[in-house]
Amino acid sequence: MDDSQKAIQQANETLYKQNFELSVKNQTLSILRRLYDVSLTTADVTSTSQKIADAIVQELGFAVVMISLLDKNTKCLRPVAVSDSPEIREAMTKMGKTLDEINIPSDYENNLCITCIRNKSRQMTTNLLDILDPAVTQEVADEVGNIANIKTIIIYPLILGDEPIGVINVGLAKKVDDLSRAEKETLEQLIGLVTLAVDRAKLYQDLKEANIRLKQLDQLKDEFISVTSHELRAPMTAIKSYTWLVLNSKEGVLEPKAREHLDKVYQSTERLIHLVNEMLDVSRIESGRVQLHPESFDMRQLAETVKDEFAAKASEQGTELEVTSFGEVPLVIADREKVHQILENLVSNAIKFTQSGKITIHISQADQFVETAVTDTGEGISEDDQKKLFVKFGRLENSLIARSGTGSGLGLYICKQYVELHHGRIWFVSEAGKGSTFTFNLPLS
Amino acid sequence: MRDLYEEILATAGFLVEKAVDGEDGYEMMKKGGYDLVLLDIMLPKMDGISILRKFHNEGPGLAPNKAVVILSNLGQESIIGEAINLGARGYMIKSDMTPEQALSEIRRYLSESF
Repeated sequence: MDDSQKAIQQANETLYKQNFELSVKNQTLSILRRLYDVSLTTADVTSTSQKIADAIVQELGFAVVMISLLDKNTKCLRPVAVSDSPEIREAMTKMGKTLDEINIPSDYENNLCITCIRNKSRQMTTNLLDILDPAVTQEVADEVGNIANIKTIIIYPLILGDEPIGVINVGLAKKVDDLSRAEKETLEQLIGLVTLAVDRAKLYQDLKEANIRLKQLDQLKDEFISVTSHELRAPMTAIKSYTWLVLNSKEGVLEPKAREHLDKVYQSTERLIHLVNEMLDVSRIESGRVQLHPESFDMRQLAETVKDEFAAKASEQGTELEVTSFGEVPLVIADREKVHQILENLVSNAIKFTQSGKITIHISQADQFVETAVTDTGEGISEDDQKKLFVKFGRLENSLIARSGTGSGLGLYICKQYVELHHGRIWFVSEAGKGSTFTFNLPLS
Repeated sequence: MRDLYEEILATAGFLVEKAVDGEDGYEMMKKGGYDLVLLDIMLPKMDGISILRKFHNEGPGLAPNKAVVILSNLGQESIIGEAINLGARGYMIKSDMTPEQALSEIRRYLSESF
């Protein structure tokens, strides 16, 4: 062989090598793309891992790929997927164990997968037992290796951040020295993507499970509130009703002091009942169980009803209460009971903060809505407190000390939710020391 | 609570009969002849909805009595809706009424059913 022939042979070899590397690079691109697709389209851990294992075996022609993940609860390394092929199926049958039964305790020293996780470094072996111990015997491991034609196993740790989440076992039908540099590089590149894909699936699955648990808890909470409120209402009804009977009894006259005390018992019970009702409302609102029963009605008429309800209380504290309207006001279409509750709440608040002075319920039409405004000449709301108004439990800080402690801080929150369920809006204008106006609108009939 | 409503109704001049539990109530309603039945939902032995459903399924409906109205402290809309679908004329939440209001509601139901 002369020099020129040698040169040609050398060039040929180089060309062959480059060709091979190019084809491996192509395979790399193709497998990376597949893994990327898997990570985007598959949700749960098992099927993501299965698709990854199958894709690697198909694209790179390895004998087997097995993915195992650390289970924090059981403190075991648990295989979640093994690539599917006739040989592997036969090998699994021979082994007589399902994937679930090859759990390896994370403190088991004799298993290379555990070593891999501990040292966070790649491991290699020619003995299949090194990755299956203690699930099978040497004899079974050898048989399985023969059936699946596994000569070498490379174990890569799957590391996220600094935390190992599992391992991927790659079984080769050849010795590790027979792997080309390009093939080794491909494998190294794969691992990061596999980690991300598996982790993403794990997160998704965890979130889904957490979501289901939360929903169950939420339902339990609702049931608890329903039943408890029923249990609370029963004795409260008894106190309320019997107190009422005594207060309204025609036989005998109550001592003035006794009447005053009983009146307080009655008012307090009413407040308790109101509180329980508000809690029930919030529970219904938050679980989306509020049902509206819309009907057409005259807002002015409803305002008069509410005025009558509060007339005694208002005059008792020297507050004037009136209903006014601007021109002819058309009917609204809304759940009358809920709107009644909204207006009661606004008027009750106005009375609470207007010791003497005037409260006006004003009804008017504005475009496709009927507006109801409750204006008081009370103490108004400071700017700081204004921010907390429609928030659940958003009791004004200074009213904690200043007032008699009535109100749960749920009233305006419930109002806002109910108004918005009707596709209306609620807002307010207020100036400390001068009074407030709360307005809500409802669509026309 | 049955005692309370018995007292209110009897004082107002009505003739009142009480059932001791759901099963007893069912038997009494089956015999019938009442102008108005006030039925609670949470009852010992058989709940109010089951009683209504039993009448509903068995055919005679609530015919032997002029009207059945739910008187309960349970206020879930789904349960109220079910009771109405099964033939209850109306629904009263005990804790939301004074004896006087309860009485006037009862009078209204009675006048409607004549």
